[in-house]
Amino acid sequence: MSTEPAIVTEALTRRFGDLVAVDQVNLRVDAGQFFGFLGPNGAGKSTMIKMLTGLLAPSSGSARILGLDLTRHSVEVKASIGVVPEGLALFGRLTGAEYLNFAGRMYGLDRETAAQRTKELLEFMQLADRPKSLITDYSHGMQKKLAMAAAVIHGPKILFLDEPFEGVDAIAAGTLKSMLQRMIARGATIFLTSHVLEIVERLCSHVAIISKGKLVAQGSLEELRAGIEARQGAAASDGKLTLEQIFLDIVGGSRETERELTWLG
Amino acid sequence: MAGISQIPGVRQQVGFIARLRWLLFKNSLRNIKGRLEAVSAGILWLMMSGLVFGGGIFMGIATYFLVASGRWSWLAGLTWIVFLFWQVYPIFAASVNVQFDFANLLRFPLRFSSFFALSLIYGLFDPGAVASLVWLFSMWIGLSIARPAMLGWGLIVLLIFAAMNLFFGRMLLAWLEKWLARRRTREILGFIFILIIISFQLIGPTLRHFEHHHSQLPNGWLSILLPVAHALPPGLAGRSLQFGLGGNFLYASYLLLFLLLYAAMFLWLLRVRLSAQFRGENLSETSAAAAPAPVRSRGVPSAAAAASWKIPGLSHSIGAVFEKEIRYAFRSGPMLLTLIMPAPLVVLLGFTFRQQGAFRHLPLQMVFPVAIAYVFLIIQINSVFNSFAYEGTGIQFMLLAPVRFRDVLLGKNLFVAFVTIVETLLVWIVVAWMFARPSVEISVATVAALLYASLANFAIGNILSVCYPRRLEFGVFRQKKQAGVTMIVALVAQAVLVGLGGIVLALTRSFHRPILSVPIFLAFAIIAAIGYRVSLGRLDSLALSHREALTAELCRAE
Repeated sequence: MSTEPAIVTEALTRRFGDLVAVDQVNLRVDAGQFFGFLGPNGAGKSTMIKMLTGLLAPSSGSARILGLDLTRHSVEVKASIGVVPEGLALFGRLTGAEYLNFAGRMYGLDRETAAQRTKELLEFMQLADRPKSLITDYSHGMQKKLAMAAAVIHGPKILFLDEPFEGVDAIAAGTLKSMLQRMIARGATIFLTSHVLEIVERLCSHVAIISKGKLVAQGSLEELRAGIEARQGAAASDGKLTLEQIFLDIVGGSRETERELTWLG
Repeated sequence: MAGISQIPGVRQQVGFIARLRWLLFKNSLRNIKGRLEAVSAGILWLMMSGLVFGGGIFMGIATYFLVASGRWSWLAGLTWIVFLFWQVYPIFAASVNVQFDFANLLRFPLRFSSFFALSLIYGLFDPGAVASLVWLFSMWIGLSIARPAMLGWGLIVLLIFAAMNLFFGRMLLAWLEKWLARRRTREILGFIFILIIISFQLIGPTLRHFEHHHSQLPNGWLSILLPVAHALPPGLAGRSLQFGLGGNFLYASYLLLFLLLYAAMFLWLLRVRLSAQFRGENLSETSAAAAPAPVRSRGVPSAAAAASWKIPGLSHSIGAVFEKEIRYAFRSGPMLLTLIMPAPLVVLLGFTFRQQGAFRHLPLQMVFPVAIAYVFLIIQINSVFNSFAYEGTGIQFMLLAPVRFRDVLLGKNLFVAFVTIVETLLVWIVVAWMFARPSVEISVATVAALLYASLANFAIGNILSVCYPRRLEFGVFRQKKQAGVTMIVALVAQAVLVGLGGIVLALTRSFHRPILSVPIFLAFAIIAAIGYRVSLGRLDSLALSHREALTAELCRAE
């Protein structure tokens, strides 16, 4: 396996007018990691993933994907990554099979390979039952599975997923997780953002936390846990800290609720 | 539960909604775009008030003279005008303005009576309704001045007529909303809408046709149309006034009773629709998708059947985009209609014009270039200048895939070129069959002109598509039109390209050397091809610098 990190950013920054959505972020994700990128709403997660996949230009700073500068080698980088963006990037008027074939061809696969992988992916994602249905008529969960299938059809080395489990039922989530674990076993790198901390805790080996545009923590779960336990001393050592506790501790989300909204009963 | 007071009454709830609308308007003024829209709405309102009051004066005077001169049967004509304006205006307004969907308010503890009242009040304040009410009021004034004894009867008839219009309009929009919520019905209606727009082109020839045969056909049509018009609400209202003026109040009441029955029926149909909305029906596409689709086979089609097309000479990405464009065209009725209608329209218009001898002054050899200019305008105006209009979130895929943006647009241009070539062949056959076989010189000159005009259009259109994208939905009427810059540039470009082609053809023909236009057009085509190549070369960097605008506009939620 290459020793080159999968993702490296240096002082990556993105401004929208006066708002600094991502502020001087230095991030490192090693190859083969299942990486969770966490943060409260509006912290800059989606902006970060858009910059790393070429959907958004950074205001300053740089990003290297698989050792290649994203700005100068965008086509080469795009050929090596798969992305499930926020909007899912689907063409509603195609059927699932047509879309996957199209995606395969756009990623340079020949007709036969694209068709073969389309068949396998549709079966794996349990989307094969409705070959004539247009994507626009799919449920949200089906669309998410299809977007995931399109993102992996070319066998990417890095997979970027923006909230992959949002609005997905338990069955579909199980299918998606199964695919992601296969990819990790094969040596791919996965970079995902999610609000569902339990899933991140179960799947990811490493996490980074962004808050108000700044990277406030980065490392393996054990490293983050150890850092907090060292800071809090015996108080935290009663049991193993969950990712939610770690997250709230770092982001500062705990609050005094006793005296709030007393009229709620 | 502690702290909960009584649910507000209907008046209070309507008041809350009025305040909500005011806040929405006030907040829309926070940015320049909102302020500009408010200014343009203000200008529109000023123009509209001119139409309202001008129309009102006309209606009042017309009613007065019709009553005073004893032409009472013509009053139905005025009630028909009011009816058509009241009903047609909201449909056209809905096609350009984003409407406030008050069904969203159902999440609050709104009484059905409030919901129902809101629907009617909303209808009452629709600009079309306000104008129509002013016109009806003017009619009543005109009627009362001409015949003071009709003040009471006129008021009753016109009030019931207004109520019927209100109920009918709201009922129609409520049912349309239900039908339009489904993609398939939306497309069928879109298909019909485009057919109606296209059929407007036939109004002129049809009217001229009647002018030639006015002694027979109009009377025949009138004998069929008049009884129907009399039995419909505007006819009933007009005739009730007519018989009231004649002193036959028994028959006038009988007609008014039918008008009341119409109003009651529309009110009932509106209530049926609104109570379904109130109970919380879900009209979204997903609910349709949730129902299991008929499954033809348990597995996917074989790999060979599912494979993409083999298009010789095209790279993977260009071929994939070309295939996707063809699939998209066949999946949208309105889009397909726009692409295939030009040739049948040439046949239809050709027949009509030939019958009328409209081609007397046009040399037969010039029919082919004229027909091609017409086809070119229809196809390319609709498909070249806003190429990503229907991509939706798919644009993200184009930006994420490892392809050059020029290849994406090249694939799209090839599709339009393919359609243009097919239509050109069809039109050549049609013209040869209906008029005269176009000579080799004229055929080659026309194709050369088409080549230069298409290349120029693609060069301009690709840049506009990237710089000024505008999301459109298949068969959805409530949406914005093309960007203003796109519309202006496209119109100027068409005027210049078609005008230049026409001038060159006319000049060379006047020297009896139409073949001379071929090298001229080919020279133009070379210049256009250079321009096209330059524009293609710039597209990658242009797409990169406009990627945020592209995704923001095309991926925005409706």
